[in-house]
Amino acid sequence: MNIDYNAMDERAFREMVRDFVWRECPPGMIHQARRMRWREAKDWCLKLAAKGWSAPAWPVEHGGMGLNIDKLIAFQDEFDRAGVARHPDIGLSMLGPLLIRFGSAQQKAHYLPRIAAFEDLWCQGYSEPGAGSDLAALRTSATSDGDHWVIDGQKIWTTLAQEATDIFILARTDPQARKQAGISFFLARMNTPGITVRPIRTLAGDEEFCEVFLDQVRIPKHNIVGAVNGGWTMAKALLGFERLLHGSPKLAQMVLLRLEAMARATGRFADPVFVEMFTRLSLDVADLAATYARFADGLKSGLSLGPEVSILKIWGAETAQRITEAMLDMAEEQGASRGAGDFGGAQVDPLGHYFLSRPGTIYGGSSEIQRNILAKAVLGLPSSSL
Amino acid sequence: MFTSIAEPEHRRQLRDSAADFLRRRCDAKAVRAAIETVDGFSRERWKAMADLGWTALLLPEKAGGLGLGFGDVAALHHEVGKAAAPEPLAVVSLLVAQAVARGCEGALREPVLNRLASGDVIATLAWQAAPGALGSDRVGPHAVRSGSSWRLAGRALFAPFAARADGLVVAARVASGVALFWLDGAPPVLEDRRLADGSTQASLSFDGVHLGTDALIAGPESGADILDGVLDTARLAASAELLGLAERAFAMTMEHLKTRRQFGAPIGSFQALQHRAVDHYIRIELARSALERAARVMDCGAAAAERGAEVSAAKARCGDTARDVARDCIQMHGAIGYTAECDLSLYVNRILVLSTWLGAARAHRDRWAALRLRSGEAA
Repeated sequence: MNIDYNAMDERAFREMVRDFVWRECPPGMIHQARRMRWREAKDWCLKLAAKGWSAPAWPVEHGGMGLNIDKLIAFQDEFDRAGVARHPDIGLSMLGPLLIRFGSAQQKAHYLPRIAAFEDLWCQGYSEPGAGSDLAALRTSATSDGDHWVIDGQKIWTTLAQEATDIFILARTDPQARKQAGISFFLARMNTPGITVRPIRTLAGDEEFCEVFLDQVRIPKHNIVGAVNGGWTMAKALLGFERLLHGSPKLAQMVLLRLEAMARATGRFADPVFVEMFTRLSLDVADLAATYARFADGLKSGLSLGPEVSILKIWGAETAQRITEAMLDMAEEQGASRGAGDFGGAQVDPLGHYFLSRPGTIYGGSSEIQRNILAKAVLGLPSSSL
Repeated sequence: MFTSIAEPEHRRQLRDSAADFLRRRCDAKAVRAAIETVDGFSRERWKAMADLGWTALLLPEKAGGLGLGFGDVAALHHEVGKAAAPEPLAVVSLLVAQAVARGCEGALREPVLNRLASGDVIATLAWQAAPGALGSDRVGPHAVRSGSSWRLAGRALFAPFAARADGLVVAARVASGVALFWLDGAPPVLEDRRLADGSTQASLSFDGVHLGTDALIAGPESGADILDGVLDTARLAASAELLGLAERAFAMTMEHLKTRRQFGAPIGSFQALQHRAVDHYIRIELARSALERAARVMDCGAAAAERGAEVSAAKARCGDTARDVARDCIQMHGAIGYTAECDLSLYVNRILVLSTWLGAARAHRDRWAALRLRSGEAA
């Protein structure tokens, strides 16, 4: 079934998406204060795949919906409005676009359909114990041995590695080269001998991310993406829409709605001090959404995103944190409980939302790194001599 | 950023011509000279602005105006803000001329509008009952009809340029609402005060003022709506000026950070200052978004409540942002930032005035909350 979604009227398109989401998305996927695990998201993922909707941003020839930016935003917006939680999407949102742009014909043909069908679940082997914000300091090595690469080292903060079938890995192929220059991009099956996964318990009590140990891991030569020593530019090249998605207002909007639900059910809107605070937070979110829309409009009119798009991530993540802190304040003693609690009839999980909002200022370039980048790349301030 | 690219061609031309005029006629030296006069602005430059059509942007073309929209008003005032121009553009063209244009159908309309648009008269609006009042529910003056005249009484606060004006629109409570009147000649000033930026503001007393029935611009059936409408329009313009002022003050400060050296390095290389600068950059972009949203909503002909909420959101964001930017620009300049000699002072003083004019941020957040939260609807 081939539908040209881009030719559809936006309203009809939205109605179609909304109808599917409301009809098919399991209740357990709605308004969750954490990331979904595969066993929880599987039914929903397979429904999306069966419908051909698992990869909205990918071109049609690679099994995607081929949506243009308008429709992509509408599609995402309908999911957000329904409160659909994030499913395991690292292959879809990170590796897929990278393979489409830089992968070989064989790599595209082999991996993309499997990602779109959720046959393979990917995890991302980027950060290391000594290479977080300073990612280019990574030390995991890959050495050539006949028709194999042999990978040695350790990755950390690898989200959902314990349930992934595959991992993409940044490793150093030239130890002599300048930091960024000697890095390559590899693909490996998680069941390859030498890969050991150890889950890390988070503050929230979940095992959301892991350590991944790589001990003499032998992978076929053709499992490299792009050129040897060409991994860094690829790894850093997030495509336009993915960069915008990092700054999406949806988390901030979602936690604001939960704060509002708590406050209405407990009568807090009669308190002018609360109303003043809630109004500030609401305007912080509204102005974030308006700024996001400006960037989206720019993309629609064919402009590429510059480094200034970082302002969305900084403001969105920090605003979400201010909101969840307000939830904790309002929850009083109940703010210490794990799981949803009753607030005048509203079921809300303030502690879960507090935890959920923490990583946003750390992953994908911490807020401090983003500020460094903006200071230099946008404001043109001089580099420090440090 | 993407703003200017998304703008229609005519608006970009308006911006360019405004920027060009202001560069030639309103540099820092010219601003200083103007704000030290008794008027607090330049009558000569005011006349030149009128000749460019700036006083008639929103007036319909058949009334000699340009027939433009609110997005265009925001663009023009954004440029005016960047230059810290002290002329009473928003007061005359948006508060007064718009009140006359929207309300008046009688014999007064043509001559008054012509005099306002031509720049021949300075006029102001008097309405405000108390500090923090935001609209037609808090009108100070009142009026009763007696025979063939109106008898006015009561006070109005914070009327800009009133002691320099040659006429004014006064809003007054009447039996069944709010009416608007045109009062020719010098307004009845009770107390005139000089503000931080050199402009003036007066409280007025209307006790004993009598006006003919032909002075009525708008009766109680439409007076309150018109008053609220022109106030919001002027707030949009003030928000745009605040954005322009904040941007220029910020740009001056970035220049300072790049050139000022201490400890053997430009101070802009210090991370503490870089991060502070980025925070203001973010806030300025949020303010631009809020302003554009408000202008768009007004251009779509939104109902009063929707318009009010978006204008208040913009005024609160632009006002707070500009004041915070001003504060940190002083700080990042160091001691020179605390001097009158530094051009930054022109921007800081104007920000301090406009951020309170027609309602400070706190009052506008209260209004937004009343419009948006009571109904059970969230942002």
